[in-house]
Amino acid sequence: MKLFWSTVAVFSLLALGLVSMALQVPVAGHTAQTIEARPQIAFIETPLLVPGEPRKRFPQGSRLVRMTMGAQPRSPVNLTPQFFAVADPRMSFDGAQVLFSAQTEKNSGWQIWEMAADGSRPRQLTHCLGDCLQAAYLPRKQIVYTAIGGNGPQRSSTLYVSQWNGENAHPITFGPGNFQVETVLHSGRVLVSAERPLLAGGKGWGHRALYTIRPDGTGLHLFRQDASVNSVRGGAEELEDGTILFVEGKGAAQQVGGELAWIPPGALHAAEITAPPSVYESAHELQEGNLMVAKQNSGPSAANRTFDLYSFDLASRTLGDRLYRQPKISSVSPVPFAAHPIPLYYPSILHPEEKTGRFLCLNSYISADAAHGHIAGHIAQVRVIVLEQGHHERILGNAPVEKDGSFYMTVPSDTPIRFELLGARGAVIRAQKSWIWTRPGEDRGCLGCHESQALAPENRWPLTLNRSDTPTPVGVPIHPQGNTLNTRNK
Amino acid sequence: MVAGWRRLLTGVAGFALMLLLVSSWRRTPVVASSSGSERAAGNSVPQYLSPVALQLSSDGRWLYVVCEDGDRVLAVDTRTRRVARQVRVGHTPRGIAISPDGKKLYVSNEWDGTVTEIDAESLRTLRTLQTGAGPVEITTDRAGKVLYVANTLGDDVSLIDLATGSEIKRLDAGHFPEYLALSRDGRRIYVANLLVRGPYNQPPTSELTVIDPDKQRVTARIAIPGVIQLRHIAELPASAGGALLVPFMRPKNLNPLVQVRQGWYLTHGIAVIRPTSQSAEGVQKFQVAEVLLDDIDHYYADGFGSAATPDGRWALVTASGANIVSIVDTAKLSRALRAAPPSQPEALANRLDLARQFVVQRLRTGRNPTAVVVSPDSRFAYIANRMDDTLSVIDLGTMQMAATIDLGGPKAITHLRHGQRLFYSASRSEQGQMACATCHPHGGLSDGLAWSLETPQLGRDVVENKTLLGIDGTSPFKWNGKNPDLETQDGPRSASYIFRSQGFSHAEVKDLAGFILSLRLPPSPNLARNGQLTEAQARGQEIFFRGRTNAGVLIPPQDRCYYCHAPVSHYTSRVLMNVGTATRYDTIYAFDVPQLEGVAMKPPYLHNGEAQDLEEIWTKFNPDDKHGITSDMDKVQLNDLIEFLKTL
Repeated sequence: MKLFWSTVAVFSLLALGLVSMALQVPVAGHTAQTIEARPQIAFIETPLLVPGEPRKRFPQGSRLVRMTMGAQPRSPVNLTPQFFAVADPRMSFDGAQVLFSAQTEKNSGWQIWEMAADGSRPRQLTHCLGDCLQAAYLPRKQIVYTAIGGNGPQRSSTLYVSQWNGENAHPITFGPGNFQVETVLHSGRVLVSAERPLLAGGKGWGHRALYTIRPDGTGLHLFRQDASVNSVRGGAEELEDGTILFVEGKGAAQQVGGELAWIPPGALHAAEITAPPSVYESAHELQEGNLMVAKQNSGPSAANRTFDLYSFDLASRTLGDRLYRQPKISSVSPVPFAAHPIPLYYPSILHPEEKTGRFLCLNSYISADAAHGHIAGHIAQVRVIVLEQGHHERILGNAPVEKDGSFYMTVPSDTPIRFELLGARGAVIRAQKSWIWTRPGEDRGCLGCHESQALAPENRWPLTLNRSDTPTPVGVPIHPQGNTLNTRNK
Repeated sequence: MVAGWRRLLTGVAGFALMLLLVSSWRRTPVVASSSGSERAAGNSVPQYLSPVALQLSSDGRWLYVVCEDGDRVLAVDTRTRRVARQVRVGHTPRGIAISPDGKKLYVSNEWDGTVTEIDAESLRTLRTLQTGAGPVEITTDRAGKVLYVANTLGDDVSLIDLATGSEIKRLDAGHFPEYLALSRDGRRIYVANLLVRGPYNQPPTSELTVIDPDKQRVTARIAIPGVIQLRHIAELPASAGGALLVPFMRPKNLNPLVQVRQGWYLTHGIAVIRPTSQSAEGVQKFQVAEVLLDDIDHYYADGFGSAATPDGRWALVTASGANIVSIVDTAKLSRALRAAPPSQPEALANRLDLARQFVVQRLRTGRNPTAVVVSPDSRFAYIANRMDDTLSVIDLGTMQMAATIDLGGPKAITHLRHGQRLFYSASRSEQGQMACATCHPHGGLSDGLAWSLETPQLGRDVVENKTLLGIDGTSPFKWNGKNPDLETQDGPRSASYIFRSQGFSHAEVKDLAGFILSLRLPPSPNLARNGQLTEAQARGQEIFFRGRTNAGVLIPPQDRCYYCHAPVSHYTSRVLMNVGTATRYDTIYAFDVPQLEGVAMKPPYLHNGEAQDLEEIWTKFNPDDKHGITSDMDKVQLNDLIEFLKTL
């Protein structure tokens, strides 16, 4: 295997040199235009791709290559000869840089790297103790990435944001769920995948759903409450029209890839684009309505079932021409080698000096899980439970729920909590499963308890704001500047 | 004796001060229409066109385009898709109608209070008709004998006899009637009101006013709950159900603004108003449903124009803040409405996943699409793009954009125009939910709602939305006076706390602020053109400047109207004053004194909008005379004072 990669590296360097020379040598106008008109793509080549935890995807190594579409011969250029394994390529907004995760040695940890689009000037951005991978560019010179740490049952992944140079790295998720970066949406929110529900000591990398979170760690929300999506296998991308495209797998993650699925704008539920037995590893929009996909070929044995690159017409949902195939090598995670729009910047309004955040629920009776979307019975209080080290749960306290179902409370920030709705006699009416959090100074709003994302709130003043003692402090000292009524006014 | 001289001198001084203030009021400068930098550079200010209203000839050959900034009407040949002729009309034309025989055009001039009658073939001006205040949309009755004019500032509809050119009567509409339409059978005229009146702490209810043109009276006031900003009215033919489709905005101003997503702040959609039964007196009854055109995570801000194909199969609704036109399959819309549980109409109006069932196409238009019309043969739809000076042409056969027609406006974009474009664009807000114009409709008005915007004390300091018209020279801004200038008001804090997204760059904020400061108040419809006050207005003026109560007691200067509402600075002292209006839900006591110019245009009043009209300021919310000495005034005096204020 080492001989293989060495050979590939030599030829790649040779090819890279030739390409560089070709780009520098004056050529006839027609030829130059032809070269520029051909889109370039980057993708990962690997002899073996395995399912499960992202850091173990490429046990025999992988490389990032660059290829001109339509060029003959189809000889990709190896951009990462110095690495054992490379994954997750992302182009910078101006198309000049590539962000990727890599292992320098087989047993070394994954780190985030960046290099020029021609493969030159690679530089390591992160120096994580565990593994850092799946990075994506954010506006204003920031990146977001997945950091995996811990051992055994305590092993989990967290999302981090840092400057483009890796400095000022800080976590933005504060609960269990094994979060992974998928992509950054046009709106500036980060699309992530994580377990569903967000349980402590969950089932690992099996049942996963899509969530959105702002780059400052606020506003974590399930992207869609679609029970039919058993597991998101990753590869989620946002198309030009806002459609979310991803790879979906049925059941536990016993195989690499799955079917292509999408959530068009406005759709509450995901729908599959492709059907078994075809298996896709990822898809990326090449032009409007036209994807390039990594699809598994139907080899006679599992060893022969590698992934090749194809075009895919989204309107007709049909597989197009094969773009690239390398025998015995899988070609996966293709991305266009081109500039692309910068997502909107999200201006954070957190107060880092604070140690608390606030939850405002407009109507806790609203629930998509309940009959007619409305929880029956009388909700008197809401209990707050905190998750502590070692997955121990502790009751933090209760807050009153008004007759309109509203409550407003202050809780410790950056701490995983969940809620239980209580009846007048203290019986649990409904218990939240997922652990969520607020950030310091965040005012986090909820329409209801597990309400449909398709439901906008009524225009109604929440009664909890009429109280002089809200936000109710739960597990935190009473704030000297609470939401007090101004008794000096009329 | 000394005391007598002192009183005399005090009186003379007070009278002199009053004269000085009155004379300064007469000299109140008009805000220039271009930014300072553009004026300083000596540039000639390009005159953009800003198309806002469209009218097709009955054969579809000619498309007449009303340009509000260009003060003109263009005639576009739909065959060549070029501007063939044009004519200048009055100041800020906004609406257009065509006579039933197709020979005459009627164009409303909002700032002149007139309608220009034009020969449709030659585009020659025939005569000018006087209307009520702030005319926008107009239509004739089916016989072409009476012209109906929606008077925004008058809150009424003028009926003008086209034979004599004189106004017959005015009918009360709702609040700020902007658009109206003659029903297909000619038996009704529908009037869409942009704003609402109602308690500040309750959801708004809009009114669609129905007029019987035969009887020339209002026959129904259809309540459309929970929404504001009714815009263009499209009517489906009876064969397609006969419903009216009216774009609206559905505000959530009572919810504290803790997030934007999930329609927390506002949503956009259409009211579907279906004629049902008739009463015993033969009056038509209506059933109202509301559906959103927004999608989950994607909003189509500021619904504006609406039109239906002659067969009613398709309806088109422009989203002026999103640069999108949504094409609705009306049969699917009907099915979606029938499938909804009738017991939960509000749940239907809040569904963000419903539009997918009936919106069959979303097409990108030019900037700020306003009016839309459909050709008589149903082949094409035309959309006026206000901020591009273009028309978009849609091929309704393929449901794709077919062409863009350049109306010939200036190609160079000034800072002022750039600011104007930013004002109308929702692209800088999270998920495109709102533009500046969303809460400041009709070019900068207040939406008349009180919003709960403050954090971290949610539910405290709820404030009425202020107008943006005529605010140059009235800084500081915001009710708590914390923003010394518009750059602060519209800069990073707006991005962080209102738009919850990227907001505007420094250069963009500068352009935006320049545009906002250029916005002028329309001439007061209550002041004679020669500036002469009526007797009641003059009496009200004396009250405004009075220094003694009815009992002859000297009013301390700080308790006189003009002390805080100083005429020399747009009737505001530009400082914070405690006038006893703070409630226990306010964390502060003193508020920025609002300017009074254009005060008649901007109910409700007081910082939280709890006074529904001017009189309530003194009769309900000034029990201790902290808001000036007013308790001694009788009803006639209050009326006179209001009459004077309405001239400002």
